[in-house]
Amino acid sequence: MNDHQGILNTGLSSNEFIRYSRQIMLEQWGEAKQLKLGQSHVVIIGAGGLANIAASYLAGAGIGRLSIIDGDEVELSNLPRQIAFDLDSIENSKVYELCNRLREQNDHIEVISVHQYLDSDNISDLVSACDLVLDCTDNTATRHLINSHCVEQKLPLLSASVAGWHGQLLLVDPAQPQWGCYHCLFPVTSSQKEAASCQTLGVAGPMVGVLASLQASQALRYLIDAPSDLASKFVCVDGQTLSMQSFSRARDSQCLVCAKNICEKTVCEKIVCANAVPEKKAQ
Amino acid sequence: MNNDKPENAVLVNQENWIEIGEQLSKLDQLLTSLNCLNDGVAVAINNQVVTKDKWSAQVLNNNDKISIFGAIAGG
Repeated sequence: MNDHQGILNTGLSSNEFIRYSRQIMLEQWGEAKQLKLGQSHVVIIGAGGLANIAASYLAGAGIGRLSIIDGDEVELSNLPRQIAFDLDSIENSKVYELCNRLREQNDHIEVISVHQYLDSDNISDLVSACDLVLDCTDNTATRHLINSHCVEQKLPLLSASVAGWHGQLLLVDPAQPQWGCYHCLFPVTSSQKEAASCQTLGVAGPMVGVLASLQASQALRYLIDAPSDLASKFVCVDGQTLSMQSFSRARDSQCLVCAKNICEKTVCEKIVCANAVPEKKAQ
Repeated sequence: MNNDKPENAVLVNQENWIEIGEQLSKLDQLLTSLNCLNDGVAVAINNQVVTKDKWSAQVLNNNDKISIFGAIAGG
C-alpha cells in the first residue's frame, strides 16, 4: 500500500520514513534534509551508462523531481554498462526505458523524460530552474555547451566522465566562481582532438559504476548541504592502479566562458579579457 | 619510473624525469617539448592546476611533480 500522506508540508509519511531510514540516520542527513531532497529538482543530461546508475541512486534517495534528457535509443553494445536496460529495451528510447524503471523504483518522485538531443537551440528551454545539473553525456562539444549554459544561468553543474579504466569528476558551483569552470580546465582549441570516449577508447563497465556512484553521492551531498570541497577540486580516478587523485582548481583569467566581460553597448556581446574595463555606454 | 633523476628535473605523470635548465625553465616550454602544448590538456604542478593563461609565466622548480591529462568525455 502506498502512503503519500504528509509529503507536502507536514514531514515524511511513515512509508517514506521507513524507505529513507538508512540515509536519514546519517549525521549530516536527517529528516529535514530528506524533505529538502523531496523538494529538489535535478536535471540529468544523458541517459547512458553514467545516468543509468546515477539516476537510479538519486531516485532511490528521494530526489523529488528528475528530468532526464537524451535523444538516443538503446543498442546491444550498451548492455554491459547501461544496466537499467535489457534485451527488450533495444531500439527503444533510452530516456523512456530509464524513466520507466525509475518510476517503478520509487513512486514518491516525479520523473520527466525528454527524448531529444541537447543542442544550443533547445538547452535554454530544457535546462533551467533546477537545483543541480548532472552531465552524463558522451562527447566534448555537449560538455562544453552544458558548461557554458550552466555558468551563464548560474546553475550548479556536476560533471562525471569515464573511458577505458579512467574517469573524471568535477563540480562547477556558481556560488564559488573563484575555482573556475570546465572550460578553465579544458579550454577548446582549434587543433584539439576529440576527448577519450567509450566509443573511441572502450570502457570497463564497472568503471562506469564507480564514476556514476561518485557522481550520485556527491550530488546528494551537495543537495543536503554536506561539507565538501569538491567545487575547488578536479578528481581523477584510475581503475588500473586503484587510485584517486585530487587536484586543486583555479580560474583561468582568460576563460571565454566564466571570465568574460559583457560589453555594455546595446546590441553587442563582446568577449574580452577579464582584466579589461568594459567600454562605457555612449551618451 | 623509467629513468634516473638528473640533478635538476621535474617528474612528469609519475613516470619520467625531465631535466630542466636555462632552455627549459617554463611550463609552456615543457609542454612544447612534449608536443602537447595545443592538445587541450590540463596541467597540474604538485596537485595544483595551472591554468593556460599562466603557462608561459609558470617557472619549473626542481622536483616539481607535473601531471598532464586530457579530458575524458565518455559517459
